[in-house]
Amino acid sequence: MTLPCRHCGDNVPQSRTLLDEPARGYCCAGCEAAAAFAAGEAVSFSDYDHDDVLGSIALMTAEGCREADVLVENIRCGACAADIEQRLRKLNALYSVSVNAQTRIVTLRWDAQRLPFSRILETIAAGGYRPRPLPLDAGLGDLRRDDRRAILRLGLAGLGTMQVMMLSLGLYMGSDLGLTGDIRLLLTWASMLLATPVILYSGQPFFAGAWNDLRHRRVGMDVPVALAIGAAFAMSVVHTLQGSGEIWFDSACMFVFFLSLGRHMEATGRRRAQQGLRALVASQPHTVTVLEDGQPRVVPAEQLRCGMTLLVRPGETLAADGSILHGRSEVDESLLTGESMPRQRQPGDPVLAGSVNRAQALEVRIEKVGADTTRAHMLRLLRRAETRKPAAARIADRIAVYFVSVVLAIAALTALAWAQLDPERAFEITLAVMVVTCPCALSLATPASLSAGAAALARRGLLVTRGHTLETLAHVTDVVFDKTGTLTDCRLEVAEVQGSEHWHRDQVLALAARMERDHSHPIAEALRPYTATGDPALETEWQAGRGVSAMLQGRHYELGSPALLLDDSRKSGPDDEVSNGHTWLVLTEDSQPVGWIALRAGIRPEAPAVIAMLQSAGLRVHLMSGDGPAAVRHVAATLGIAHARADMLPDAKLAAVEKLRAEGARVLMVGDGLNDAPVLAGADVSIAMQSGAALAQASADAVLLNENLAVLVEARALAQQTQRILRENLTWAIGYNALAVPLAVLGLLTPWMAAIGMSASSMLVVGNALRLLSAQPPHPNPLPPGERERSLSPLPSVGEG
Amino acid sequence: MTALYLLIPLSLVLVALAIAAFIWAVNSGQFEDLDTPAWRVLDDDASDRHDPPA
Repeated sequence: MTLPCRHCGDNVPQSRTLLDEPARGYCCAGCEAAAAFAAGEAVSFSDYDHDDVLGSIALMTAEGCREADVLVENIRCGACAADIEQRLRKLNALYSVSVNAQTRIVTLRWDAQRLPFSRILETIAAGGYRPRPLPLDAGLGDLRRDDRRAILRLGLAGLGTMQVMMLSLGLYMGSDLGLTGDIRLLLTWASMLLATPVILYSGQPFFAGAWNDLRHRRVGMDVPVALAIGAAFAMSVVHTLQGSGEIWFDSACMFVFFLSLGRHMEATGRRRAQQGLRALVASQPHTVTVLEDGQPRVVPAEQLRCGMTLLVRPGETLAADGSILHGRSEVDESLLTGESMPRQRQPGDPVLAGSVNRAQALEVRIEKVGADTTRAHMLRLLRRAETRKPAAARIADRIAVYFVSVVLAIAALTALAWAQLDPERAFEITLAVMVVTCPCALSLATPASLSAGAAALARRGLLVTRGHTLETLAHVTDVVFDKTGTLTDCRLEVAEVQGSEHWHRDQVLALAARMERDHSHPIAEALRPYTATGDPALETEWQAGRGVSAMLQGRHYELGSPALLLDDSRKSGPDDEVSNGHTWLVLTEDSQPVGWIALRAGIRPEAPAVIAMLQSAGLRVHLMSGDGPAAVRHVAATLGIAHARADMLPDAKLAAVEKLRAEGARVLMVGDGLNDAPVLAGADVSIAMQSGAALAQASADAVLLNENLAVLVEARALAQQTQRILRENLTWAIGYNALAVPLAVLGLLTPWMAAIGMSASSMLVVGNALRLLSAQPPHPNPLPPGERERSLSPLPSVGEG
Repeated sequence: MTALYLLIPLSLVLVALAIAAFIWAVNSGQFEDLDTPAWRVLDDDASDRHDPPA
């Protein structure tokens, strides 16, 4: 029987099935190497097959199957999701697999007796993806249940509202159609039947929220909403049972529907931005290896204590904070800091839980475990930032609520007055007042404008996660940029070259460029401009983690990281003061260093044009960076930013932003790192980069999905346009009512005229909002299409092929 | 007008059916992922699913 290759899916030739276990599942050495590289070299998933570990990840279903959620960090789109699904379907005993491209979560159901969990994870990893099983206590099941309930509530409200409105139209126009009392009764009862589930089930969150507010002795938005809905419904029920009087089932239902719709849209965006946090939760390894008297022993992660020595193999995630005792390696802290380049770490350096060891085994002395780790601290910080963040200023919602109360009062007064004047017409006129003042245009005005604006922004690559974003963005006066990862991207460029006694700088650069000429990793791209034409090709060899080596005129040259190529002296670079923020490469001749090349992150290609446009729009642009003065000066000079400050700690950034705000500025903060999170939460409005730290994204008001800074300029213009349309809509809705109510109260409008007026008014509001969607990008894109694409693909793709 | 005595209860039944169908759709997870299914048509091997044991 032939098996499919674990990497490419072709049949594995018979000859290779005789090999040792690790090589056996692959059709050729190429696939084996590619899969090993993609899987982060030596990651082993076999730990996940232990019963107690599996028990904390996977549910046991009634049929004896296992069910688990796996977060796959680098799913980028639906195509990745389809690819993973296709790979997994080839496994026997895997009963169901569903890959969600939005949440990046793979939900699996399989027979653990016949198929080890590690095999599933290996299959995912073989495609170049990074699977992280999610612990059951990550609360994913709860989240999914909440999600379903929210959609159910919204759908029920929508269906119910449509029906109630249709029946109400019959009631409103009934007297003109010659409706008999019996049929009127039937319509009323049918309305009540339809409205009851909408109010009690779909409206339940409002009542729960109001109750919660009251219990804590504060008045939130939910209190007036619940009062309005509750009063309208209760009165209608009483009148229905009495068989006389007004009913307001339609208004109550519509109110529930539109408010739920607005909240649902906002929550969906926010949830998506918080997905990265689950990676943080999942980054905790389940088992760890500790060294006891020099002997490695595998223990569950919960048993880690301060003072133990942890052995972290390449590819493993750190389970605790600590400092390195032995070993040098590159540590990937991207999940925590958003920093895309792995950091060099040597004995004595601190390392953080949640970061991944990329190069060589490390022995780490544990200093903080569990709730004391930086990772746990960040999660707490986030929850606090979440609760402290002012709730979206739903001014228009508030207007709508008072409006409803006023309408009910006016209707009641009208009924009373006309009952005295002309009891015959009292009913009809009160009805006209109710219909003409139907709050739908008003309650539609805000959600329709804001969601059309948010949808238009999402099309341009900016995901709005908080309701107030569009409102605040329109009035921004100051833009604060963080340098790393915001104005720069992960392309590298040469910052500095140092020669030695016999080597001129140009010679160093020319040889380095020649050695890297036939390679395509980021370092080679950085050296590409220095390639001299006409040099014969070199026979070079590239080794992951070490660098490139070549033989030339009988001498052996190597170009790579000093930590790995040199033994002890001059590990980190020639001079610490200049090396600030730079990554050093060393060129060695027969293992002796002869030259140094410093690389720095390149400035995003669209950044200069964007900064210029923001400044010409009258905004003050600031640069606040934690990097050293030299690096910051370079960026500020290149981009023409006058207000640039270096060496800023998160506290200093926050203080600076608060000082700006105290001076009356409205601050937009654009950042991406872990240390930006407090500032992002503290600014009036904030935007995080998609590639940045999960915490930064969760504390920001919007996430820049395509990392194209040009969107900022468009977003501001679009936010202003949204505000304009929102004001138009509110003005229209209020103006219409101000005109129509007196007419209705005076008895000049019949109910059918009122019904047409109401519908036309609502459609006008929605149509006006939809203009936002058709709006062309207000500024021409500062980049030609080719350039733009380059800036959209920040990482070299790995593992396919 | 007498037709309404039949039509209105009938419409209520239809709404109830629509709501039941909607509840089923939500509970079977059809609203959880609105992006991925669009790509599934491009998947060549979508037919060879493994069914759970009876």
